[in-house]
Amino acid sequence: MPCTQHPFKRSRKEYSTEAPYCRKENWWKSPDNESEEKTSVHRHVTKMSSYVLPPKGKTWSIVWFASGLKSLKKAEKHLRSAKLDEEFNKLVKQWKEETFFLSSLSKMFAHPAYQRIMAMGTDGLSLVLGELQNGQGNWFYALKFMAGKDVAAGIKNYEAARAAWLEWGYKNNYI
Amino acid sequence: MRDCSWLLHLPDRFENVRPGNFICRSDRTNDRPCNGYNCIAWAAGKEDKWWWPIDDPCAYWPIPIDPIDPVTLEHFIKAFETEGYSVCCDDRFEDGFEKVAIFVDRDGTPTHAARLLPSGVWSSKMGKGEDIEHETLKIVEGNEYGTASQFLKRPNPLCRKTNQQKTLFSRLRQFLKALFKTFLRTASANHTNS
Repeated sequence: MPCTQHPFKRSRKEYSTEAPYCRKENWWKSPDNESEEKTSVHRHVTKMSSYVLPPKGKTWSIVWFASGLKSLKKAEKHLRSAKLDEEFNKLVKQWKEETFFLSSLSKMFAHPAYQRIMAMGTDGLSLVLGELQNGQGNWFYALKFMAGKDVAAGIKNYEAARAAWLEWGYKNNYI
Repeated sequence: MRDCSWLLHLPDRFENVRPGNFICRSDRTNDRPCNGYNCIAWAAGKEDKWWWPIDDPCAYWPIPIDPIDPVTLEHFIKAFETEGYSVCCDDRFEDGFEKVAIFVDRDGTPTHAARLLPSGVWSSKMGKGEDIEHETLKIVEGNEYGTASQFLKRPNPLCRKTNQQKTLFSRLRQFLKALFKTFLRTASANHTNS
């Protein structure tokens, strides 16, 4: 019986009914057909060496899959940083608007928006250093906690403290 | 930028601020960080530093900071004492004296300070915002700054006759001087109009 699932142009010889990829007529009526077919495919593959992928091909596919994963991870990271960036800008705006009439630096640093920025940890360091680079806001308190150390310890001058933090950021690839 | 209208848009923070009960006297100072002064510095008569008891490159405090509990009323009184202030009991205007009022929140933590000007009105620096003049301390009291609970005073350094008893003759001379000035001003105004 000719295989009905393949184009007629091909010769009968090329696609025999015995081939594992061609289903028999009314295959769906028999309940064991699927398992039978699986076993027949398996048998066929093990018989015919040409169906087995060469080891080189396998390596390539693994490499391709791995590179795909890598780019996926990169894209995910990019998306996460974009989200963080957006959240950071929103928080900075909120913090500035809600604290500009305050005199208390303690209250300014205890503001929920500032605390949220501090909670970003090392992920938010480059963003905070960027703000410091632009000369916007008082970020020394946050930086101290985010970096886990006080680079400007003992410095009482704004410009000197800013320079110390920017230098540290540059050396540690945050800028 | 000199625009204090933002005060009117924060009724939940400054409940007693109404249009007309304060005057905007300076520009905003929040253009650059650490470049301005705050209300505490303003009350102490300084305009170059941000006075706050915290270990930060942007902050200045005239006395060593208490590492355990730095933001206390006692700590603030000690800081003002370095500028010649001493504790007094009320916010009434006294000729020849400068007065400062320290505001505290519900927990007793200092939040703000205002200075009594020689004209008899109070002056406040609103954080990084503008300096404003207000007739009473009640105007800036509220949820944000709390209440004015501590008053300090010092002899006015600009007043020469601070502790001298003024004689009747000197008072009469001062009155005539003021009268003459008013007369001159009215006359010049009439001359300009005609």
